[in-house]
Amino acid sequence: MKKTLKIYICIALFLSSCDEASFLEENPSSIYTSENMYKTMEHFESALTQLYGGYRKLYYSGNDNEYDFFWGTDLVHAGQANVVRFFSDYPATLDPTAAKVLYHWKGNYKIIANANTILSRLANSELTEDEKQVVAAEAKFFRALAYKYLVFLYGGVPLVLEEVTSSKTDFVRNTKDEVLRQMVSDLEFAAANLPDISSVVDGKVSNVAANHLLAEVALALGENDLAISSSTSVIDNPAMALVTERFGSRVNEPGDLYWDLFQRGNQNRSSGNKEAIFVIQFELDILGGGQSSTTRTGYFMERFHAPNTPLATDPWDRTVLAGMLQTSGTGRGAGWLMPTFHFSNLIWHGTDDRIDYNDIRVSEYNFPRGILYNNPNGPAKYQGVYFDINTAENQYCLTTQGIWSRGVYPYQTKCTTPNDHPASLISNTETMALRSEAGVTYADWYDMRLAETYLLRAEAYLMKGNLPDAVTDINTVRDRSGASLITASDVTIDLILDERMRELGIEEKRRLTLSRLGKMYERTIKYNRYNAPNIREHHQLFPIPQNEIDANVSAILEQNLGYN
Amino acid sequence: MFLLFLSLTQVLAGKIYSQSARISLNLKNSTIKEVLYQIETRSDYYFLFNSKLVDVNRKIDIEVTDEQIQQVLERLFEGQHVEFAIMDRQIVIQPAPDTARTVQQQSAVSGKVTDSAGAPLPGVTVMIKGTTLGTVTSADGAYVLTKMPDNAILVFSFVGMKTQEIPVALRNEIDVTMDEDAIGIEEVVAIGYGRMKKSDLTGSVSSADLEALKGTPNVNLLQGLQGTMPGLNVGMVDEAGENPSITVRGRSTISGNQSPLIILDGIVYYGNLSSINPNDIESFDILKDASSKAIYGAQAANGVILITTKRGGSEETPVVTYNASYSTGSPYKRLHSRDRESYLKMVRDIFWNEAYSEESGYTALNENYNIETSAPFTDASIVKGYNEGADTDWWDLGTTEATIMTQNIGIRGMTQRVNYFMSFGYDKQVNYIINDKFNRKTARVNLETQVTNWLKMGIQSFGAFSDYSGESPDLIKLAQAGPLRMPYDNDGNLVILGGDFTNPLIGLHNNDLDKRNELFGNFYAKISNISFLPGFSWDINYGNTLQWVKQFNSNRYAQAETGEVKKYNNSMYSYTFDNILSYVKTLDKHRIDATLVIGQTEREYENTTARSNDLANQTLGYNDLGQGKNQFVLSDSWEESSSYQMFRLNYSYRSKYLLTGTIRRDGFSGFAQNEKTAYFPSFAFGWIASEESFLNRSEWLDLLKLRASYGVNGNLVTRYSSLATVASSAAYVFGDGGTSAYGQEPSNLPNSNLRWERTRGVNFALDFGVLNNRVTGNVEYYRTTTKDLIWKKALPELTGFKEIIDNIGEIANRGIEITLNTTPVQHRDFRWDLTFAYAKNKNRIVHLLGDVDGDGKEDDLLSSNLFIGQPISAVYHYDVQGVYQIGDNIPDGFYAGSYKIVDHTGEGALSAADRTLLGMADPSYRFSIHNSFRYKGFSLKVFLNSVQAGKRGYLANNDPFAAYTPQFISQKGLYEEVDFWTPSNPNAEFRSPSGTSSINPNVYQKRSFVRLQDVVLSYDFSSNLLSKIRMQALRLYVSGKNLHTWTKWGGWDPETGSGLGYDGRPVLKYFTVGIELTLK
Repeated sequence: MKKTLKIYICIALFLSSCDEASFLEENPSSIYTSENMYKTMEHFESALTQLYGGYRKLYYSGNDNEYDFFWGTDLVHAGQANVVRFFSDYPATLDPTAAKVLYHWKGNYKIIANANTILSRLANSELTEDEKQVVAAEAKFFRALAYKYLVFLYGGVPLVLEEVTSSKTDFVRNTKDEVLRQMVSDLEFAAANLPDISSVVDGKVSNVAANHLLAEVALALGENDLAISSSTSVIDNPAMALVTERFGSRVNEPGDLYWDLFQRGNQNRSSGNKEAIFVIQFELDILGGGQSSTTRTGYFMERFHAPNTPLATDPWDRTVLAGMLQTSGTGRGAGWLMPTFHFSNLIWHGTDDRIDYNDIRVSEYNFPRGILYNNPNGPAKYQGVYFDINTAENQYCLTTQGIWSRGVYPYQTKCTTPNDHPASLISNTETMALRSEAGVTYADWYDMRLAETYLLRAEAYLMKGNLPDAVTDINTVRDRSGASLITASDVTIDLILDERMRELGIEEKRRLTLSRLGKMYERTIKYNRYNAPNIREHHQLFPIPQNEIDANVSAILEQNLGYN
Repeated sequence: MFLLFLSLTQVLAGKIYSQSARISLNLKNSTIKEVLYQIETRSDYYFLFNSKLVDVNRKIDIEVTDEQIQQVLERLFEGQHVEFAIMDRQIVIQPAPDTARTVQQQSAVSGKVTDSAGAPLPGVTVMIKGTTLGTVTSADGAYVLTKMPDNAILVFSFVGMKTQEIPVALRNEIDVTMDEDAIGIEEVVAIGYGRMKKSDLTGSVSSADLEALKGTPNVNLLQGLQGTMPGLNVGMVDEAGENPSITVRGRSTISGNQSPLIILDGIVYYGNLSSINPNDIESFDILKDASSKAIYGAQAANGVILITTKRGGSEETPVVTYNASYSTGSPYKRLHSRDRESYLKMVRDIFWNEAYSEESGYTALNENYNIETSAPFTDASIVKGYNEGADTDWWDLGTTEATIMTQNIGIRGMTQRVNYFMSFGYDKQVNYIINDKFNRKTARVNLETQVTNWLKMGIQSFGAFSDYSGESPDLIKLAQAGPLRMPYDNDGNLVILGGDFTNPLIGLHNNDLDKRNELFGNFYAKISNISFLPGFSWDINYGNTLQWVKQFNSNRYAQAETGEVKKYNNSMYSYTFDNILSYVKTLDKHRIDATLVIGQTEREYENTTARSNDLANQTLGYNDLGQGKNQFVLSDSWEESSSYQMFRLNYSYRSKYLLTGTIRRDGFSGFAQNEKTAYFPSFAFGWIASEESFLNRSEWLDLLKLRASYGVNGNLVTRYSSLATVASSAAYVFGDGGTSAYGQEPSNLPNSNLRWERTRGVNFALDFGVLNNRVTGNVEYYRTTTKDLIWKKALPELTGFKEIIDNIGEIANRGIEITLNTTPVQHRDFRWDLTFAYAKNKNRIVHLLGDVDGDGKEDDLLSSNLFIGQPISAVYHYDVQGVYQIGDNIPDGFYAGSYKIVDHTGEGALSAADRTLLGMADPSYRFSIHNSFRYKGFSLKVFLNSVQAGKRGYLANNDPFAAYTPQFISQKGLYEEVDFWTPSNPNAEFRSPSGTSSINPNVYQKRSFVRLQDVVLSYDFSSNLLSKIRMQALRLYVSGKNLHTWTKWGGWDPETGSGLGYDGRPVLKYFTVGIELTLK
């Protein structure tokens, strides 16, 4: 009012100099501006938190595109016919204009941009030199992590290493080698400057995470010694060990130690788990927790991977079992990520071409292959009976193409939290039927786990021709799960890929691994009956998004071969 | 009526007396009558006078000692046109002979106003010249004026008629015949910071014919104006209480604000147009060309709409008006949801390669096919309905008959120094979709008082209280529910349905409150008639708007049936403070009218959302958010300010050469640091050629006026858009049982040189009237170019940003607007008026980023769908030519039933490069025809409105499937009207929804239409009849709105672009009955 009065007087007196400048100054009342948001340690902590949140949002928040690493590979295929959304048809899915193609690109470049902003703004911040090193190490870890997705999905991509503060439209692609070398450099810095895993808060990255990722990148470059040294530093870290005994939240329930690894509350180190390297954090019903007990929010691995049991055929009268309930035991699956026969059966065969159930990873707890009959309209004698679809009488569950029905197929229980869903999602406490809001994996999720580090090192040994050490590492992983031990003559890259499947399964971003090894096309043709007819060799890489090519007006972003 | 016909003549008897008698008096503040009485009592004189002719009530002070009667009387009547004859002791006082006729105080004048055909003219303004006193003729053309001052001259004015000035000259009855003039030429129009006679205009200003809108059920004035004013494009409305979209002339911005600036009673109006009671509006004018808009500078580029509300009356007798109407409505066209039979056939048709046998070429049913294994049957509610024989018509459950009820009462009048207008309106609209409701109460008080003869003060104020409460069923879900899902269980309880589909009727059971309120008050003062500064006036306007919105909702079915409640509150306050100094001077044949404006505005906004779910107790609904286990709070706010100065000079010579020049300087807080202020100049020239001697002898030409103008306007950027902002929110929780960790990231790129958009334009116009003004019209041609377009320039997302707001490029608009008014038939009892309006605008992108790739020609911006030489709304897309049939050579990624896309690159494979320019979304031209027939008391109005596509225009996507999967579509159903491909229907309009090919092109269709928008039949009762029941006017009417639409567009409505997809909404047809009456 005082201001108004003053200006009124000015106007009344026909004076023009009434401090118009301050009247017109823009005072954003509810938004933060970047000028004063990258100064203190608190600011940088917040910017780093965004890297975790951004990464989780990109790949663990229930978006369809998060599952692009699984379907269309040797691991799983789309459970539903004729739906491009589910990667059923390669040419139809991987079009340069497809939203999916842009999703991974822009999501990772956003992480890179946020990391670059942190790195560029450190110089003028109030942080001490030591603090700057630690912050930079964490930012560089995420920058390398994002480039991992980009380089394995798209090949050589433009390297952006500085904060972009004004319009820029002249990007050109770097070679795959340049990108990988940059990642090595970032990860070496991260490994040297990040705190030890024993001293970080649960969920935060550490020197161990950086070394694990470094090993993977080194393998892609053929730097096998670097891969060995970095993975060895992870394996030899006294704070790290494979879980070898039952532990955690459900230790008194029937199960096994592999099952324990995936139960709620068992992923962080504070639960006694020394195997975890980088764990995506979820917390129910808290801002930033990423999960809700009343809406379907979170990582949808349960929904995508668990079978859609109402679609199962009734073993009693062979009609569609629409009444079969989706329960807290099986999860509320939609049957979209269906294992290939290779994943569900062949890799588990022992010497006698039968599934070797000594391997706990394929136990009924971890890889069930049947359904518990609960159709209330069915005959009483079937109630509660477990139907194993592997048995001869239940072979009808395989379609003529050798593909499982969406209603019942073998699946990894790590996608769900058997009989441990949030209470508000149980619609009927008697039958333990789930509400439609279920479908989320209500546990934290491993992004990196020590078992994989062993397999990375085994791969490096194999590449160097050091078969005995490769065998040792593979057997360390197998032995922990009771699987039979292998010998040097067995070790091939395909065996390691199979072993990764057995150990990691749907934990692994399979497409990235296959792309790193150039095995994408070969193994998909071989093991994925569903996608074999439609995958072409150029589908090893995604196309560069058309939007990016179009918007990059000052230079040419070359399209990947096969997409022009 | 307070007519005072009595005239008292006082005759006081007395005796003969000497003229030389002397008188002494000392009286203060006494009336002349008292003085005369004193004289009579102290002397033998007596006076004779007529109190109607001589003002004896005037108060005076008088002190005389021993003076002769002659001197005393001279002093008493000093300065009065009075003479006195002293005949012995009898003194006769009477008006002086030279002014005898005009000094007389007339009691009243009455009369009748007719047009040249002799038909009575209602609504003619009759004013006493030089005063604010006057009246308006009644339905039979009659008027009565009382208390006429000296020398009264009556001014008769009426839109479309020549204004006449007639001295009363002692007459008591004056009948007037009004002559037609070029339509509207004597009309006074608002031009912003002042008003002007239309004949003096140099720019392009259109005024709405509000009279013509009467009788149509429009709760929003704009709806009624749809199609009536060339250059004003009003969108169709399909929701209750919704504001239609409006644009003026072509689109001069790509991504900047496209809404015209609205000025309500001189104040920039940021409120909601649906808050303004249409009955309160006196005039509605649009500034269209760059020169007339230039006075609003940086905000004017999209056109300026000036709305003026009714002022107080000019008669002591209050005039009361009452209007009421009732309408019923239903969709003028209905799409049909499939019934059970049709739905099941649709499912088979979608999964044709399983449901039909291969041997038959997929035309005969496959015996082995079990529909229960198809996608819809993964949904338990569909399975249940299938087994129980459900056949639900969800549309029926979610819709109802639409009604609109309007009531309005207004009163206007004046007392000695105060004039007033007050109104109260109540409108209630119930739309076709259940709970799509709107009701509004408006109250207005406009008061003005003449404080002194140089100072007027007043207020224009209103309150509008709108209620949109009630949650409608989700219309999209209603379209998607399908016949097999059942809304209620056997006990009649609502079922949630479950699966991935929630019962759309849940909304009806929710408690929903949505109230939007607004208070507006413009406090003003006007200083004029300053004796030492003739022609000068100073207006001070202080306009204030306060809007607040409450949106509360309780939903017990949400959040896994744990319930969710929320409250959303927002408020916005804005003020405008304007000082308007004006000076008018007429010197011989020269006339100058200068205006200086200095002003500023500020706006403040804030909102709070509180939400909680998982409620322990839902009894109190949204009134107890504390019951929720999970509680969330969000808030937001912003503020902005602007300051401006404007100078305008109008000059006319001999009233036929007209010149206008303006300059405005604008400052706006939203401009970037380096570009805070801007200047916007304009000038215009007008020539009334028909006033020239070489033309004015012409028999057939009544008016010929040429106008030309040039001006620069701006378009504001959105606040804060030039700043580098950082988004912060709870992003993560580390560790089990941890607390929220907040994250931050840059959310946009800054641009410290961001400027306003700058539009330059020229306008050439011709106004004419011929054949005794039986044919009048107006042609306008304009060209504008807009530079420094505010635009979100797409960036490669490699930068971490999608776009940057920048100034780029140039776009050009050119267009022509034609209005033609004719009166084909004009008899005493029958009259036919015909108005034709036509508008065409062509929009073209001239420059964008330039030649970035260096190939010698300007580059298109494919990523933003912008092409050099093409309109902004260009449609660049795949060219669909039919559908692949079984057995065709089908490329990778496509199927039988997919659209066949033309391979424009000829590469053999289809890719984004095969897109081509299909046309544009803008229409080619618009026209409307307004017919008005009048026979005695009856009148019939017929209004046709049309938007035409031309060759390649007015395209919209009418894709019923979008990118939905077959599973989705088969569960949700499709409208019966969607004709899709199956092997047995190979020539269908749309592709098969059974697969999603690698490219799923949109389906662009033209939207041309001709609409019979309004038909109004009304009857005005004769005033002879009405006067017996003390009524001044009474009109009854029936009308129809959107009675028929001729179009080839498939879908709900071409104008809204509602197609065959799930998200379409119907446009309603209304029948209305109404009454308008005036009491006096």
